[in-house]
Amino acid sequence: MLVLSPMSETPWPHAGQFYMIGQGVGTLREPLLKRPFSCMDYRDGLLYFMIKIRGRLTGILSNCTPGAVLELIGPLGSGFPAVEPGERLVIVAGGIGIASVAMLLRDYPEATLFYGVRSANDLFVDQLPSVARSYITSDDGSVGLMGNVLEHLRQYIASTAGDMAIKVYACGPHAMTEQLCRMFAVKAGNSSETSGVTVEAFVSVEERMACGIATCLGCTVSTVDGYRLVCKDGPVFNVNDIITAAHES
Amino acid sequence: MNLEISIAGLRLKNPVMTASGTFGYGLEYADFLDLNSLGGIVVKGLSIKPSMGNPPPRIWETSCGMLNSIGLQNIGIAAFVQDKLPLLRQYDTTIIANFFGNTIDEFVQGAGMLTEAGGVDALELNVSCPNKEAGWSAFGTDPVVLAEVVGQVRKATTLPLIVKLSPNVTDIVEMARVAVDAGADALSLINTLSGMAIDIESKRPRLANIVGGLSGPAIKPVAIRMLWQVHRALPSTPLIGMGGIMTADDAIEFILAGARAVAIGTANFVNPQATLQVIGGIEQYLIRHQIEDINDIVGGVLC
Repeated sequence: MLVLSPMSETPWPHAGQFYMIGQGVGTLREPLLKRPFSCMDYRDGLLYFMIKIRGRLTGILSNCTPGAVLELIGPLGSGFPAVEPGERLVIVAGGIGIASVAMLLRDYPEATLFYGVRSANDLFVDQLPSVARSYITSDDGSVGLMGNVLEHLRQYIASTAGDMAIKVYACGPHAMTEQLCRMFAVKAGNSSETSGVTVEAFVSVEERMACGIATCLGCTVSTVDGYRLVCKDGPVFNVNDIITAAHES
Repeated sequence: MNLEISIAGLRLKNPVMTASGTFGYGLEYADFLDLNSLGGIVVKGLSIKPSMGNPPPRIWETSCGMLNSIGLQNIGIAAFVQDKLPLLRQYDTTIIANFFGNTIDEFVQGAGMLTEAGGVDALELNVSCPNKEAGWSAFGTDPVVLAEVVGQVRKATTLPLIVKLSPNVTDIVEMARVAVDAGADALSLINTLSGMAIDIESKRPRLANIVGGLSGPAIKPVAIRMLWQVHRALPSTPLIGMGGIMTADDAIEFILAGARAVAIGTANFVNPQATLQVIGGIEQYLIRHQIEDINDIVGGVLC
């Protein structure tokens, strides 16, 4: 967990927004570029980020000592749309994707969470707000239910009484995003009919980016309206708008 | 102290511009810095029709640099002229339109559209993007084709014409001479170096386009060398130096090698205020060395 105190006045983020984080001024910048990180919480004037050590910058961030100065740009991106009264929110996270949806847990304590990890070691629950119902799954069965989180989600939705429209807000690896698109996207209109339940799904998409402010044009995602930028038009997209590789082939 | 410089009849309040493709259409950066402070803004490469660019992934960071394969995604000249240019014109800075075509006719047509639009101060002819299809690179790497496109565009515009050169050639001086002989008023160098990276786990290229353009500090020594060679061969041709400038010290290096102006590229991604810091640092350098006029140190390297 990386906890940062903004050194100048900054707006607070909405759930699903992100920040570009890089090394501070005056340091030898290697790596050069900032990286996008979802903000998972803010309280008492502090911003909370969950960092999974994956490469050089995340390694450096994980070695930061209290008082270190980092550069931040944000909050950036669109975030998740508000859930309307009468809608039931189902939050889906795969692995580190939990960071992108964590603020939703705080904003919607009545929501249901599906959280899938590879194994118990990848699970992060310490500082997560608790919600009404949580289903934790792992690929190896070392924690929670065994199996793919989306299979459990499918069963849950199939067994849900169709009195309320469901919003699915999700973030996970590319493969999960694509599977969610196949599960919930409909060719026309805004909702899919799964056993009589109206489901509208949004996913937070990850793509490599250099700037975060729509000038490098690096973070494109294929949509029904052509290429859109994850940093500016997303990172949250309606699954109906995303064209997955499987649809193209 | 004088920071003002002149390039092909353009007067820039200072020698620091933005490199095409790293500063959007300029307006994106208005939240981060006062655009009036800049010597010039060079906008993202424009074409006569909007262009989608290449499929993702388009970015990969390398040691001291980055590869990109954006592929000249842009909104098209008409949309730029209608939606962006009037807003950009509210700022007191030089506006340079980078543009390209897929054929010589399109280059000529683009130059005409940008000239007739009014409000563009100069054109930067992009013959050097490494992310276009194989045949396209001839515009920047084949001297005969380069002479043809520069000559035709020269006839199509009354604006100052800057040609942005590709470093992916054997003899940069020959290409510079060809461009100037065909009518270029000034030269920008260098564009990105063609490069590639591979994910050894998946054994796939890091970029969907397979190859991309390398930018950032990694390419600075190559850029300085090429700029110095061209300045030595064509001392009266105004040169705009670029390639990995992160700091004022880097910019001074280019100026000493012969650049009359410099452009900041990848550094805008790293730090949106990089241009301002470079301008401030150049002033500090002139004070420290008791130099009255920035023009006095252009090409001042001792060798």
